[in-house]
Amino acid sequence: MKEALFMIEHITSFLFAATNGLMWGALIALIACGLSIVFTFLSIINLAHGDFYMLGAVIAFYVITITHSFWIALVVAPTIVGCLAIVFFWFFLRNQNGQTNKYLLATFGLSLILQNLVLLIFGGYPVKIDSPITYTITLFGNTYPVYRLFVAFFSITIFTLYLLFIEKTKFGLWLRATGANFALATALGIPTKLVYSLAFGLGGFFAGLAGVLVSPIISIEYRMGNDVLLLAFIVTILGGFGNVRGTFIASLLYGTIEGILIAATSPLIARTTLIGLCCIFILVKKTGFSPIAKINSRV
Amino acid sequence: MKEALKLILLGLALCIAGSFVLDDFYRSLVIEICIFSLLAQSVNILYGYMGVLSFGQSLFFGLSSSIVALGIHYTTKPLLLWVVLALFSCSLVAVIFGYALSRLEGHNFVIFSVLLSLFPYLLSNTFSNFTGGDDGLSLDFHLTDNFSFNSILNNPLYFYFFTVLIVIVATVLTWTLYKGSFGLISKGIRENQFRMELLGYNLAKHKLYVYIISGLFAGVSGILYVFFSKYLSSSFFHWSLSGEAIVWASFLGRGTFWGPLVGTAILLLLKDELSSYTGIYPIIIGFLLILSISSSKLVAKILSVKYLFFHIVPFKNYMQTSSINIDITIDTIEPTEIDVLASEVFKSNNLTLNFEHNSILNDISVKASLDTGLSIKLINNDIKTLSLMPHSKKKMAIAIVGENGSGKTTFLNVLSGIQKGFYGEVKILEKNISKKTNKYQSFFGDYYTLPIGRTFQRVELFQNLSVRENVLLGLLASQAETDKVIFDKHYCHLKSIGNTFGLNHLFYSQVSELSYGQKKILELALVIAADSKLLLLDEPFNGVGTQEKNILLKILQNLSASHPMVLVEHDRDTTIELTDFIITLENGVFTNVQYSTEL
Repeated sequence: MKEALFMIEHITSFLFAATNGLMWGALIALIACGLSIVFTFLSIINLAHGDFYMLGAVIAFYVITITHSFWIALVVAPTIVGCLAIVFFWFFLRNQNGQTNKYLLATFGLSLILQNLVLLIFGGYPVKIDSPITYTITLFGNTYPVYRLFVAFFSITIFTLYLLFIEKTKFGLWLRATGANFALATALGIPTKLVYSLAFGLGGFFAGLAGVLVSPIISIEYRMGNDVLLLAFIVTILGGFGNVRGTFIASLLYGTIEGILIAATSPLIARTTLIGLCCIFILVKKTGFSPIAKINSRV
Repeated sequence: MKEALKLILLGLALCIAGSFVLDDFYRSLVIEICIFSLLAQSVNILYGYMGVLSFGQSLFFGLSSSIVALGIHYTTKPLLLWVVLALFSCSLVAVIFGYALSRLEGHNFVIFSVLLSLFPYLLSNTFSNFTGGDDGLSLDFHLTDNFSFNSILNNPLYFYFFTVLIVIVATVLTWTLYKGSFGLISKGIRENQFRMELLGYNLAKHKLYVYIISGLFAGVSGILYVFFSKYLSSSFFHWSLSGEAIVWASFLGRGTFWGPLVGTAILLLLKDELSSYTGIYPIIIGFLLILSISSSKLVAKILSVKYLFFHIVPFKNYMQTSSINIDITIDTIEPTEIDVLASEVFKSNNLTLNFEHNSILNDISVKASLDTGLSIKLINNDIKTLSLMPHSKKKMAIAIVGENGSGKTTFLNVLSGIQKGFYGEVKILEKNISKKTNKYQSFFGDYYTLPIGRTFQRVELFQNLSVRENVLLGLLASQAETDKVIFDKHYCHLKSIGNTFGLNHLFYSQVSELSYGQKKILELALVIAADSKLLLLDEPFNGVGTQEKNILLKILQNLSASHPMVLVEHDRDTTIELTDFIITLENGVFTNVQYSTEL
């Protein structure tokens, strides 16, 4: 009897950890989605993506201090971040015809600037904001804040909307066309540079959105983007670069596994193990879980 | 060698002069600059010369510094043991990176390098009781050795000489290495990997060597930094350090020799000036990075350091000639005995290739031999054999003609080993071409190349190198196996290639400055320089002007006496004039073959 109870307790705590991880995974998916847009269509690896996320949270903090409303911040902060991304792209990246290394370095520079500006203005102390939804429910014997469920649900909704946007709208078609052949798209009269800027902005918007969503859960700090950037990288690689659905599944999977590992050991050990495993995985299977054939345009 | 000695002496003189002039504070600043310039040099070797961007240099820095620091802190074993161990493990990690580089490309490799350097960072944080983690570990160097390390490490003046000397030697070493063939091959990889593969270089091997050198440099700088600061932190592993090193190395322009040294000095002085204002220095670094990317060479132009040094150091002997109105004389190649490895030039048996659901090549069987001539299975399963032309002894020039999309280029790609995934058997110069693996990038296992020269519709050249360097890369490729070529030995070859192709007056101009026709000629010259036996030419006359077309035709006619060639061409007249056999390809099947004289 005692053993059975122990087992049940074990299983429920396992399930709880897994569910919590899944919620976290949904959020990672939202962040990785922004990274993925920018990579898939613009072939830019955005090293400042984590800092867009951080910026979203910081701006949300200021907006909430002024307006006392989380929901206004949820709209305003990502929009500001998105606009900032567009401006950055328009001024510095617009004319860099697809040179991956240059993009990498430029966004690394942006990341340095953003982090240290926030450090100068916002300060180095972690800040937390109140959760807008204070209800809790009982989940596998533990109390669980409804807000986290809301975050997961919201993330998945946004993700679905994004897929519809890319596949069903005119802008999505333009974006895909521009990504496939920049020169031809320009010749056809698509405002390619504008499309690219908007796509970069969209990536920033998603990161900012995730930042606002996460701000009631973890504390806001100028370095909070670094960790998240890595997670986003890992899931985009696992999902196969440029494969949005694969990225989504990989995020959920990664979140769940990390959740379980954290419950079993400690956050640091869980992270270390997973990163070690990812290194090996990339070496062994470089295209990720679901490869998409890249056409060799060279010959 | 003489120049290297001069440089070492110059460095020493500066170092000794510095020891008199500088006080303790500035001396330690110089030490710091020297140490980090070594890290920047390691980035420069990778990114500047070879074009491989990696955020993994901090891994070497952190690894070597941890091994030495922890070794001294926790044990009483001699220091030298830990230094050797640190350098050894750096080379091991370099092998891992080298292997990864042979498998991953571009963005994947960058992210791999970030993750790999993060792993020890997190590990070090996990065991922070032992390693000090993020907060760091202060060390004291009272070594038990009887060796005189103690006095070197604890006396600021001795340590100054020690560090500066190591850095000077390392810098001069890079310089001597990179002004020769090693550096040229690196640059070739940066400019056009694909062409390098085709020329027959073992890229994986070269990248591995470069990575080991680069890793050792970063490792040495890590060890020196531990000696200097007597402090260890897990943040040495963090990839943001690599990022900073990339800025040091590249903001004065990529791939210059003095760039990292001067760049590090400027930025570290700036950092020192701004040390009282938190956060300002990284912001400036960020701006510099963005500026140097978005308006290329702007920073370099403002400071013009690069140009200054280029004139002081005798890096190139510029032979500036005005290239207007020079009579191009073309040497004729004496028709020598055909020097092919085998009498059978190429052969394909039931070669079939499908892309998705489209059949591109359909059951192609053809055999070209210098003894028996050309025999082809035509569409109605007839086998037609044409013997060699009696007047042109052992000359084999075949043209493949046909509509667009009939599979001509694909057929050439299969022959040159680029196109994989076909069915059937293909032999070039009596050697099988493998269907699956790309042998060019093999890290383990055997490595071979076939002496095939392939040119493309859109030329594949090293865009930002001079014509001379392009041809030299070809010449080096012909002896890449021995890899011990002394650079100047190639001078006479270079001249003769230049004469043969009428390129002598262009030797010192960049490829990007050439006209399209000149590029086509250069590509041919490159392939010939690489000692190719069989030429596969994809539309050599496409887009070439009339004047250059005549030159090219003359060159090709000269070459055809000694090289069997297969070409794809739409231009009727030149094709007939140049070739002996004309094969017609329609929808992936041969429909006709005839002597060109019949047309």
